[in-house]
Amino acid sequence: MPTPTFAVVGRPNKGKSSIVATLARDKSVHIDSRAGSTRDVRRFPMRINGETLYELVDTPGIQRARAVVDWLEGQSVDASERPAAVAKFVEEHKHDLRFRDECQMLTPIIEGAGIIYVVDGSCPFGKDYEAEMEILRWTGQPSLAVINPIDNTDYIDEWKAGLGQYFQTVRVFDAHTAEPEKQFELLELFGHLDPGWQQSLSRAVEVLKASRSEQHRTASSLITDLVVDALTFSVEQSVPEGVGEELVKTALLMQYKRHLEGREKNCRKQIEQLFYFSKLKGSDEQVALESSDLFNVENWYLWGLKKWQLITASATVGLIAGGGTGLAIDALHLGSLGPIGTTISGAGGAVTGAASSWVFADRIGKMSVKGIPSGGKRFTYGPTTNINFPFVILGRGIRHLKLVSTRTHASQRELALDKPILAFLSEKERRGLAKLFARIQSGKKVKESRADLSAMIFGWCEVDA
Amino acid sequence: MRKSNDVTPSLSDLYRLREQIDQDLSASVEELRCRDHVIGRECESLDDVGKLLYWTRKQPGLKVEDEARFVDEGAVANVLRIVALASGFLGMSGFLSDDQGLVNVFIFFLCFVLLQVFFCSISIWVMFRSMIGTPPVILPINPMKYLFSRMLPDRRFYRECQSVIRLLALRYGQEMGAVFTIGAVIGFFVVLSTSGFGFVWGSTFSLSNSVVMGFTDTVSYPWASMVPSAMVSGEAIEISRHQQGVTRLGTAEIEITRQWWPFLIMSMSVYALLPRVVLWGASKYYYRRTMRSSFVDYPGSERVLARMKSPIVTTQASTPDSNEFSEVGEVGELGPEVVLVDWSGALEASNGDQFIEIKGVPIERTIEAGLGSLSDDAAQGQRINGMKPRRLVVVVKAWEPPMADLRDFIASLAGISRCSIYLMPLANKPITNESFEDWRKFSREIALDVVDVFALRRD
Repeated sequence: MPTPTFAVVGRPNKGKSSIVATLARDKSVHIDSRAGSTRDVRRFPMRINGETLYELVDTPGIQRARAVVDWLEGQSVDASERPAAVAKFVEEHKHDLRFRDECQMLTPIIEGAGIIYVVDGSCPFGKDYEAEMEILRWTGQPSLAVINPIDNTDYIDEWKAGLGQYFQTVRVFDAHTAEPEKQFELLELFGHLDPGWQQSLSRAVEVLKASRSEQHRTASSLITDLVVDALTFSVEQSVPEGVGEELVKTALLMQYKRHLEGREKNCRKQIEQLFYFSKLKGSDEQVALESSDLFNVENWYLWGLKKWQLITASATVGLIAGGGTGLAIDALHLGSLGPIGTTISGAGGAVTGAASSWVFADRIGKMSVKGIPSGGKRFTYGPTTNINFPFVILGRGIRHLKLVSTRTHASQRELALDKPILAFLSEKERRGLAKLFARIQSGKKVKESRADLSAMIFGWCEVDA
Repeated sequence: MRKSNDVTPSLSDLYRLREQIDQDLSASVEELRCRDHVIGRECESLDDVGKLLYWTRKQPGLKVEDEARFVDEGAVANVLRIVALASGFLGMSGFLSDDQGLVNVFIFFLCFVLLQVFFCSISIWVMFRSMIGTPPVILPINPMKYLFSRMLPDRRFYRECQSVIRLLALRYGQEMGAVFTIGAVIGFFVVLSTSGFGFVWGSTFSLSNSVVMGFTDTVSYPWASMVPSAMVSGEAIEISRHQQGVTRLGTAEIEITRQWWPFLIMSMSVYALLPRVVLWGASKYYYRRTMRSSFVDYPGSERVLARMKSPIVTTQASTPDSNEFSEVGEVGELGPEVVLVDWSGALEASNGDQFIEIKGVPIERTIEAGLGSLSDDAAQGQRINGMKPRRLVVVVKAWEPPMADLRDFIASLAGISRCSIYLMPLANKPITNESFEDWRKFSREIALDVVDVFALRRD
């Protein structure tokens, strides 16, 4: 059984390449808002460990449809001979520069490819399209039509009516915004064009679904590692007596920031590569994220928690810490004081936690200086003491992951960071996260906390995907 | 699947894993996918720990200076074993070598039994804390801390692997404790067989014989039925009671006080050696388990395993894209003698008079083309040629791309020196820059002296 192959055909600038880029998850496809950006046939095989399950073929747009129809109709053949007539046209015109695009487009079809005819649903249907549809009908190959609403959906109904005359199956598919489920549906539909192709396409879709889930799992693990690093990272420097303290402190702070910024950048890069966006590097989209400085505290409300949310989260952590101490005090008194110790200490912890989160909302970490017995001092900056900081890292990570994972490879839009990210978290989830961060920072049950955080991120992002 | 439960990674394996995962954070995901998939296929039959071990050993390796810092665990352990054995032997020999030939049973018990029980209790607590994931820190006075900090290439790794290092220290601690006790037992027998010392007991608390009897009976309860000879008789307790001013015992009395030694040996074996051996076995088991789980659960390991197990799925193009574009734009003005071509029904829903640029063109000089067959176009071309226009105005749909058949049509006309292409906008929609660019590019491919492109404006 030959590999199922699908030629994506249509008029220039109707989104053929966008559809191919989205389905093939290939950012290298030349997508241009100008017509005729595809000049040569390009093949996109879907392979699993080297085995090809199907192949998409991006073709140049049809330029002289009426001339081709004229030639074909001039052959005076009956319906059964039409595919042969198309093959003859290609054979006779393959060196004719006037029909270069038509020959390139028709070659995979006469070799057995299924036809995916693409039109733009934001432009009106016209009689002038009928010539190209007629050529496709002459090829005798199984086909379906895809309406790609490039700018809007104004003419979709018109197109459905027009295409219905020539194609048994007509689907609307927005290559720029199609969710993965829609992409998988379309691929499965390709399989229905020929009973022999169905098994391959179903298997391919299963593999792609599993692969997508794995992408999310890996991305969640990368973000978790980043958050854990942000919670536990510290820098230290021993200096002999007499060295300017301010200089050392500034250098340490810079080193601290540089490390975390570098880690975040690497994490983003890997997530983009996971979703096959290697070409995002250096593009406008990347710049838009990069310019939003991680340590610009004023922007933290976008990524992390708002102040009131921060206070409740901090109070929870303080309450638990204080309550634990109080419980120990009560236990030492064999309960003779009743729950007074736990109550007072817990309330004190909550108030202290809330107050410190308010007062030190802008402070990322703490610089500590210790004397060294052999002389000199050891300066340490970090780990962070700011309750919002891990939320900020998490928020930025989730935002980036969501943008990348829901982005199609045809999309030319910028990645936007213009709305609060963790707004979807419930109060309970926020408190749970604060506790989890506190556990990681104290070194208790880090393995379990890490697994919990990774599972949470996976859950949040896979639902959206 | 073959389980590789017999394989326990070492600290250096864990360090290599961590280093490689750190390095991979800045590598290309595509490269990692391919590299790890290939490695994964080579070790498909192994379990996760085996796979990761195989993976770490397939990596280029550590820096030379880091490798040099890893002390061979086996060699260090052997040295420690010898030191522990010698310490036990010498400690016991020294303790028993009293000038007066009398050994205080209580001090012996304190040094060689109770102290060991105390250490074993601490070990149990440490093991429990380590197992629940909250290992206590290794105290600065603990010699193992110094050893480990020498053995491991960096302090961060030492901090990260506290749980494993704690159990490793515990494992060797129990082993060394057991070896120390064995050394002490050997020392005991050697001194016992070579010198004639006796045992005495005494206390500032003026303990009565019956209290001591009760104590020895309680202590020897575990072996009382199996080894009754290892119990202390009332006579031995009575005779071995330390009397003020008595510095030496007679031979017969010494023989009776020697009834203490089986009791003491059994106490050492049951309360010092046995718990050590049990704890050693347990810590060895838990160390292996913790090390294996630390290996698999190390942050990033799951990503490595996923890459090793997942198939390589590619959907991308098999050839690079070679398309390129260039752009230039030109503008011009409408002249007096024109023929207007309505291409592909661009004016279908509109009247030419609605547009400033073309409202002056008479209806008889408006030609429709681009919709019918090529012969229809050829006929319309003949009509235009018959009008001998100096200038051609073509109205096209702005929302459609330029097509080569229009170029063919224009090329078939004779005597035209200038052609203006007017873009008809879709109702209530502006014409995009991209559309202009498309048509400008198209205009450059038309072989006339001047070809320009404009948007139609409604009057």
